[in-house]
Amino acid sequence: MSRLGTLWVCLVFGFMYLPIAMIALFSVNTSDVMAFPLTGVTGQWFAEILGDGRLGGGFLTTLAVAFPVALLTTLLGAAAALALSFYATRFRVLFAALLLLPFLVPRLILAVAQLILFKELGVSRSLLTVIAGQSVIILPFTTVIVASVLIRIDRRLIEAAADLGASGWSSFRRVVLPLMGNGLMAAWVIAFVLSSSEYVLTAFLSGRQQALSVLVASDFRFDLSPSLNALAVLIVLGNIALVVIAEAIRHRSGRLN
Amino acid sequence: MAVAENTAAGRRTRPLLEAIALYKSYGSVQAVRGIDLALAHESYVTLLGPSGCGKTTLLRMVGGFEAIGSGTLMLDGARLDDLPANLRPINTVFQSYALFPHLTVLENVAFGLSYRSLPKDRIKARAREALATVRMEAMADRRPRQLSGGQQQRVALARAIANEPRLLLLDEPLSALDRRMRKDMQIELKDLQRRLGMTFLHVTHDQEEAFALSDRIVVMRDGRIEQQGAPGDIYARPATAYVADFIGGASCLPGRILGQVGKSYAIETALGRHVVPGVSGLSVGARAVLCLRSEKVALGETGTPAHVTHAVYRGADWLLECVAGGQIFQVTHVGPPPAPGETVRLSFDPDRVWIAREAA
Repeated sequence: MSRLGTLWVCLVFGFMYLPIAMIALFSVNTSDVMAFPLTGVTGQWFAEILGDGRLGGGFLTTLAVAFPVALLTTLLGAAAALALSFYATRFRVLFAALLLLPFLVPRLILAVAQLILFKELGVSRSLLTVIAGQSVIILPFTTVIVASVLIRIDRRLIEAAADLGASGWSSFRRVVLPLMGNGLMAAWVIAFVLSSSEYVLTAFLSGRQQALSVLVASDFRFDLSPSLNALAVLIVLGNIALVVIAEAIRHRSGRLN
Repeated sequence: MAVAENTAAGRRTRPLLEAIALYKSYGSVQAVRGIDLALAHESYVTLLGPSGCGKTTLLRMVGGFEAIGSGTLMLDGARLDDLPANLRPINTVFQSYALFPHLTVLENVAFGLSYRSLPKDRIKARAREALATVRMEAMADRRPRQLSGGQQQRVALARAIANEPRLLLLDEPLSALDRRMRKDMQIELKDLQRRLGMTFLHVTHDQEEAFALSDRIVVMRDGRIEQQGAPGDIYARPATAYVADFIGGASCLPGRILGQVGKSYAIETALGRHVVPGVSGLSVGARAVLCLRSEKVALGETGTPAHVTHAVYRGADWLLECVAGGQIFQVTHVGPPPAPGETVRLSFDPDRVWIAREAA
């Protein structure tokens, strides 16, 4: 590669990772002002964040949202992907467009619209409204992830299953489902990560129970502390761990195939 | 009569599979245009033709993967076409094998048996038996991905025959194998069919394969059957110029029938008049072709003068391309060949060539 090309690649990756590196750096810096020069190494901010009951509660709220959202969007996304890639033929394009449209609507508009709808229906804000709202915007992701796996399944395998005596349901259970397992897992992980880092919809639709992303955003405005850096590092590490675990499982099952 | 119909002997007199006036179109494309076909019990039948001739569509309709357009399919005298694929007593060896990648070889072979009400150990035993039939029992615990193409082919075969189908369909099963492996598998397929006493319906575009395997060859063209018969019949007595050319690449010399002489015809061609046997039913004045296979034409002292244009060495012999009367002839020649550009004389024994229809 030319020197100019190398420089360009460095710039792009620098732009992507330097801010995160900064946060990691200041999360272990003793000074409570985020500025150079660095003053020393400490675990104080991590200890503070782990001991913070309010943020701990927010973390649990995030999990209470992310688990059901990931499960729900994976199941619905899988159903939609199956319909799109295997069964529906007539309304396929329309169906795909309707599914992917929320992705193009700005979050803020979607959030306000959902808020109005819930109000009209007399549904008060709670974790359930957060779960419902997030599911709408995460569903396109899970659908596309599962569909990308389904598209690669050889249709002859389904014919072979029928040829050997399998009914539609049986061939789904014994052939399609095992082969789409990796896609389901990838969709679940992505949905989980997207849900836990979603701010706009969460902020608009949550009631008294506030998720971590909402708490962090208000802290960032009113009570900026290096402990937030420590929290950011923990979240990034948590997400990386999740993806690594999922990939490891996928790799193992891939080898078995 | 009704009693006789139900005995084994009564059933034997009736074909295993009957296709009656089968049609199939995709939009405006007619893939199958009026097929009537009967498959005898325990026979090896190949559907032979170039891609797009409708042979695969026909096979897929028999297998139940493609709905029939119109017509009837009967198996053992009972309607087949209203049964879904999973209820037909027919199994298929797919072109790409279609082995389940997430299952072991043994699980693949046991897949079909699992839909029978059989005890688990009986299923395993029968799957192992089927694997032994194709000499793959040592690979029972492997995954398909760990097998070579030839091995996957055997497993696909074992998976299909394990169910003891009434009819086995093979969709270009050898096309992904290399030449040597293909020859070996041809012998094994034929041997297997004889040992099992099963009826095989095999789709191929390779005439050598069709000759090696079949009791009966069905030559297809544009969604119709052009000719069907025993391999020897089709080779020696092609019904049309198309069959003569597709099977064995005969040179077809156009001509006109002058008259009938016993079972032979007098034909007028660019190379003169000849009295030659041919297909029945040609009328005087009809256009027809004189089919000259390369091994039926010889170089000699007398005969039609021709120019040699190419000489291709084939190991055992030479294939010469000669031009006479504006027509290209292929000649099999043993020994030192004439050089391209040389003039030779071509002759043939009129009793060993054949007159075919110009078209069906």
